[in-house]
Amino acid sequence: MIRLEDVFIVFCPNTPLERVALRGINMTVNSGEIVTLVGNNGCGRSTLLRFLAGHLRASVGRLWFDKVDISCQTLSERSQLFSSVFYEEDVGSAGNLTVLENLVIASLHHQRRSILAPAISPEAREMFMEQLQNMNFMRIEALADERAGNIPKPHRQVLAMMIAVIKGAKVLLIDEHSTGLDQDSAIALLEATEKIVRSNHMTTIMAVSDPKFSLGVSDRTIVLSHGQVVSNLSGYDKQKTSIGDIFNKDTSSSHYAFSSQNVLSSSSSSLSESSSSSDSPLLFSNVPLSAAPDAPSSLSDVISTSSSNLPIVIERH
Amino acid sequence: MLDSIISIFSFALAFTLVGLNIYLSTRVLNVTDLTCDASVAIGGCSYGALVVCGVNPLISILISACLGIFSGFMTSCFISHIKINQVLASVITLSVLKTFILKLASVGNNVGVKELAGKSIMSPAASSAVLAVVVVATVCIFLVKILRSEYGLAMRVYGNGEVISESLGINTNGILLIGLGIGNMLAALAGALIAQIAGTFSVNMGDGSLIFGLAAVIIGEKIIAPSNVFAAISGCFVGSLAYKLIMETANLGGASDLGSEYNNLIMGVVLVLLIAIIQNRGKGVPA
Repeated sequence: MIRLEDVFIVFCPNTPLERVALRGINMTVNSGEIVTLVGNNGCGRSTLLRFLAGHLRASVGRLWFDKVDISCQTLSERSQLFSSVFYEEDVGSAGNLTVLENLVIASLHHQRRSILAPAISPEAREMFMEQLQNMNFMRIEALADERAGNIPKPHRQVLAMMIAVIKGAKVLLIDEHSTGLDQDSAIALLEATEKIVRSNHMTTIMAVSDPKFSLGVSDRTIVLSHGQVVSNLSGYDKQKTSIGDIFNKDTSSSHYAFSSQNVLSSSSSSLSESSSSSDSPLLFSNVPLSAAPDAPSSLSDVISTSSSNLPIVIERH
Repeated sequence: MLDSIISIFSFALAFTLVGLNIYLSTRVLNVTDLTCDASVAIGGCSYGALVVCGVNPLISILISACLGIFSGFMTSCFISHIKINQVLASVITLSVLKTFILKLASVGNNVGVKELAGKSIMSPAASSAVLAVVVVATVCIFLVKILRSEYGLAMRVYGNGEVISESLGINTNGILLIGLGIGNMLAALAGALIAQIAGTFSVNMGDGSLIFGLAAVIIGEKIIAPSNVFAAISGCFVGSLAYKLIMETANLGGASDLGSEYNNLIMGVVLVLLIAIIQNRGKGVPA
């Protein structure tokens, strides 16, 4: 469905600051698939997602969507197909508008907007209130008339995903949308993400800072390093591979270790917390996804098993 | 006395429109549009020139509104199609329009604008006030209607940035064109009203109106919290009335004992005092 052919992105070409962010990405994402991008900081995850969304143009390479070349389409031309939910919340929803107004404007996507019809008719209000209630996400319906810029981050990200559904986007691009949240909210947000994406059969490409969350959800994991696809773990492959192995592959070729792992291991040594994995070089290596007889079937299972095995959980309340 | 009160009131009404132009560009569209000064001048001069030539005042006011729309279109085309920086684009429009303003003003520079036809029952000040009330009320209804419509929603999304507007499928060039067109139409209408109220028009009648409009918006926002479109518009009127009163106070002070060179000092002090009082309203040690 989505196919990338030899995509190169170079920032500041022909200057001393020249930086090649993507070096020949070739990948295919099938319809309805959830793909996770994994890799070090600076591996090109965000660049790739911004390229797909249309914020960046490729220096070289082609992007195909259902056998149509969309490499030269701008952000607004692509917006019917792609919708983005990024760490920067302003990309997904308009902060000056209320939650309901955001939903209304999404439903008018690429339609003629009347200059006289009132923006929110009573029927539209009722319909969108019902949709908000059906989301069943941390009482989001109570925030319907709040400005989107004032609502809590998890609600804002759910709003961005609802906008994507309402405007009929076929592909959802997620970049670190749960970063910076406390653990409960992050789990709730990821569960809501899975629910929205699965029930609407949206193709999803996501980069999540904490891969232990996303692996339970995704159908396939693509590992990036230095702007290249290092490995492509799908189905049986992935089931056989623990998260630690992914990072073994990734870090073997890099000079510096996976950054969040550094933070975790340094804090574990400073707290001198003894645990089964403190002597292991890779923190996640003790979290096999399928080695256990009861292989995790859903997201919450993965989270509960991984958090019980992990020695440190940041911000445990 | 009554005439001067009516005149202050109608000036405040006229400058409400300038305030609404600033509100539209800075608060709704989030664009730096400095075309205001030229739009006010071109509106006032075209209205004056046409009335001096004997054209019906209502037709003249419509023509001056069209010239305002034209100047807004010019700035927005510079910004969205030629990709000129917003400030530079409006400065270029300012200087281009100066030619037209000079041409129009040469028709009857410092010649009194004729009174409205068929309004001889009332005094000139009252007839201008009636015109001002009618025009401002019509424009406000029109503006509330637009800003509350689906199109107005799209205009407010534009103020959140290009990325979100494009990803919500909004034609950003179209929004900027219509938005600046409406905004500068308001400024030109204000110019026409000012010419009618003051009875004269000149090349530099628009100078300082940008500052006036900005002050009106800011003072208005302090007095009436802009929770919805209607509150924002009434805030603009209250703000421009307050600013006009401050200016008149300063003029009174200058006229009495002190020389007129003290006008600006008095005005600055009164303005700062007013804002200080409003800012600190409701503050104190929590119980």
